Amino acid sequence: MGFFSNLFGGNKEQKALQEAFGQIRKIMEDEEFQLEMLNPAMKEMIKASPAYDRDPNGTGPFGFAATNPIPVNGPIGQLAYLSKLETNKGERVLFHRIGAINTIDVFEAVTFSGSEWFVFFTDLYHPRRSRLTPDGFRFTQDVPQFCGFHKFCQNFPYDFVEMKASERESGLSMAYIALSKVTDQIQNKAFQRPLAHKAKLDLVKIQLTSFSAQ
Amino acid sequence: MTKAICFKCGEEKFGALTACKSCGAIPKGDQELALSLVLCEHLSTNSQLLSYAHEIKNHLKLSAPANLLAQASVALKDPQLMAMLGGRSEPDPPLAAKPSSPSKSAAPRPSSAPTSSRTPRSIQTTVLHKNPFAILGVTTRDDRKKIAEQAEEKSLDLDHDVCQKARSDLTHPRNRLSAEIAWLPGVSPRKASQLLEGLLRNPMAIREESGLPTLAHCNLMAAAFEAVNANDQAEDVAEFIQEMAYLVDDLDLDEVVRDINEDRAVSGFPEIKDDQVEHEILERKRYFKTAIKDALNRLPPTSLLDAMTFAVDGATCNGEDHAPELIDDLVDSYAVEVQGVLEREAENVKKLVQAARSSAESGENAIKPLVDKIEKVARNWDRFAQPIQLSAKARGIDHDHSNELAYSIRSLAIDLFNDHDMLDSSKRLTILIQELFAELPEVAERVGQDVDTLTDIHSKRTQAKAQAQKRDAEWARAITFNADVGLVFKDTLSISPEGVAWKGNRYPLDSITAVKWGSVRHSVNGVPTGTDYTIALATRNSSTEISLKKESTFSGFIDALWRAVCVRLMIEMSEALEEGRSLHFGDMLVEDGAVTLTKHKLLGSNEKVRLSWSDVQVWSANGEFVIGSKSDKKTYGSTSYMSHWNSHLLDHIVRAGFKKGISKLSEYFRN
Repeated sequence: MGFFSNLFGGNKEQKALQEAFGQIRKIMEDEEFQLEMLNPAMKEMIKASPAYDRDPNGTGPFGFAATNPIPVNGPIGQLAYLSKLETNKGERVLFHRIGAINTIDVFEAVTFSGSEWFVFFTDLYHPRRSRLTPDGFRFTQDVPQFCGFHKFCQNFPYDFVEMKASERESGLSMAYIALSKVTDQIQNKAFQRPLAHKAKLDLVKIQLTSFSAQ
Repeated sequence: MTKAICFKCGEEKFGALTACKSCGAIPKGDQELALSLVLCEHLSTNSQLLSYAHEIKNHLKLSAPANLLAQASVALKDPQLMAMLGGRSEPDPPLAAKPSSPSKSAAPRPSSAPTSSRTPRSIQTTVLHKNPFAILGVTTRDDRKKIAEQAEEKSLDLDHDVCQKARSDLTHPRNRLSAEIAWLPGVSPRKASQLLEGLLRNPMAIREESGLPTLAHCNLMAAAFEAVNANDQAEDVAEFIQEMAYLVDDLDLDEVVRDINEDRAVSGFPEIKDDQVEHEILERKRYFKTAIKDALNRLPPTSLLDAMTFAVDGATCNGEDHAPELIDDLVDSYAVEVQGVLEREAENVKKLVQAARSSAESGENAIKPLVDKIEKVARNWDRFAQPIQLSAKARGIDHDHSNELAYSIRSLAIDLFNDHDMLDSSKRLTILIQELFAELPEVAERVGQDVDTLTDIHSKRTQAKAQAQKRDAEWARAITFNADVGLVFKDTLSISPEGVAWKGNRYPLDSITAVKWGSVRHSVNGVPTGTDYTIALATRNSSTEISLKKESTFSGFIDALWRAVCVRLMIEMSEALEEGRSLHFGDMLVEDGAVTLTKHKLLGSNEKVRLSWSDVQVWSANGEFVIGSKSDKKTYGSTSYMSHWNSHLLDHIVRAGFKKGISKLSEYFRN
């Protein structure tokens, strides 16, 4: 791009790219826009629900118990929230949805390195996402990009590449992290569920009232 | 889902830490949870699981490797897993910290360092060592001559009478049989000697023995019970009791007769018959029961209760299966011994229930301490009754005392709700019964329905309360308004649920008895110069007038005033009219079914004309609400919105009433 193109606003391709990234940022960050992406009936239901950072009547550890789920704004808000999480050691998480306990969505998550595994509970029927994070987590300062899926991954997280590719049609694939962030770990089979996590999954699965396709 | 084996019944289930669908057992405490994790495909192969299932079902020692158990224990420390397991992941029982007030909830271990009954220990002697065979050092194959010789020889070291008695017992036919039954029939002399020696060195090792004839093994186990002491863990003792009970259940009369006769054939004593042995076996079983009872009596009271409960619970799979005969006998014996305690506590509960009934009139706070006491005593009662309840459930019979107590508390719970609307106390007692008397099927079913009903009522009340609070909040929002009035010196005009505030005075909403408001547009030579808005409020003692310049303040305040005050005033007006009173508005006299207007005459004085509502029409003009006769233009009356009180209210009721087609103004609110 030359001096004159800078003067006159850049070339068309550059503009289109910038617009695309702008759109991605909007998808990730703009809560109103995330709600606009929903179907009207769900949107109305969500807008009518209370907005808070955590359920005042919640019991149990925030985000780690079905009785104290993380309030988020719809499915995209859910992806945005979980994608912004990182452990206190600075590791973000890959995640996928394993099902729901009534209206509470259940996600399985693992750090990018495969060192820690988690089960998160979220409630997507709220007009905005929580500003709080579960114990041991904070919001990342990284560029916001999706790193998980709102559906079940049969071979989680080894099928991340395929699952990301499947988002091409929805247009969201561009919003995902680069494959380079996880390919090494995938190739080295770094993701092994520890016994405690398997036990947690057993306990959760027995409570699920609906399952993502498994 | 993960394939797993139930740690209690050995049946297949899904999920290591979930409840077993066959026996209902849920792993609790570190030991059971860790074991359950090992008993699933996360840590064991299918063939290993099959093997474990076989071991559990046949009450054999479980061969779960220690390293896997350790691995499982480490996994259980995961914070989220611990949170998901709730109270299940707490350290293992004993249940109560204080012997004087045992309770069902888990508590820290006693400080006197309890030991496993499998901890190696030694004892000085056992009842087996006092058997005539042991005293004289003879075997079941030795003949009379040998016995006599041994008796003589032993007399040199031991008491002569003891030796002679032993000799007599072994040579007298009836007494010999008792001695044989109490000895180790079917065990070779050398093995018998080793076992007896081992019993002194490490009594609990006998539990691991296999391949012994059943009666011999039972006698050894019964002797090992003598080593149980106050430091033993209740769970271990319970396990020991179950092992003994299953072994005793396996006793085979024919096998015993065969073993004894085999040796008698060698020793030259005459063979015995089945019927002779049967009586002796019965006596033996009584002895086994006594041995276990004596062992239990050496435990601290809390451990005794726990051991009994665990033993019965384990043997009956929480009341679902028939227990071995020995367990039933033990429970029957136990029931006799705790009868006094149960009767006393039941009496206490009765008195407390009566006291609660008497105090119910004083309100829920008054009976709360009594309900606390009922719970405490009932829980104490249930601690003693639990083994009996489980046994009764397994046998398919009722425990009458438990039924009586449960229904007595249930009756109180029902009365507290039905007669005094004490939902919380009623629910608390109902849930208590559901917890304590879960082993009584009929009670459990009835109380289950009670809990559902109370929960439903509670939920509906909570919802209704929430909705009422929401409505109240919405109303408060709707009637709250405030604004500053004045250009230079500002006064605040506000209205809220607390009342109307103006110039430092506050008028509670309920105290306002009349309202009026209106506006006057000013103009000069046809050019508007502004509008003056006036609102006036009256109470019984005073009235106040508010002058405003801003239309937004005026209309905002009137909107709020309408909801906050005018609706109530209209209802009161309607009630007054319905009672037959008549109300003055301007020059009109308003009644429920009629209105008195003025017939205006050009000549002569005006006269009053009373017309029903169907004969009049209404309109507004010049700041007044006018009611006029339909048939006579000269007959009309009016009331000024700004000068006469409550004219706006009359306007609303009359117009709305006309729309509804009512003939009496009071019908407007009723409809």
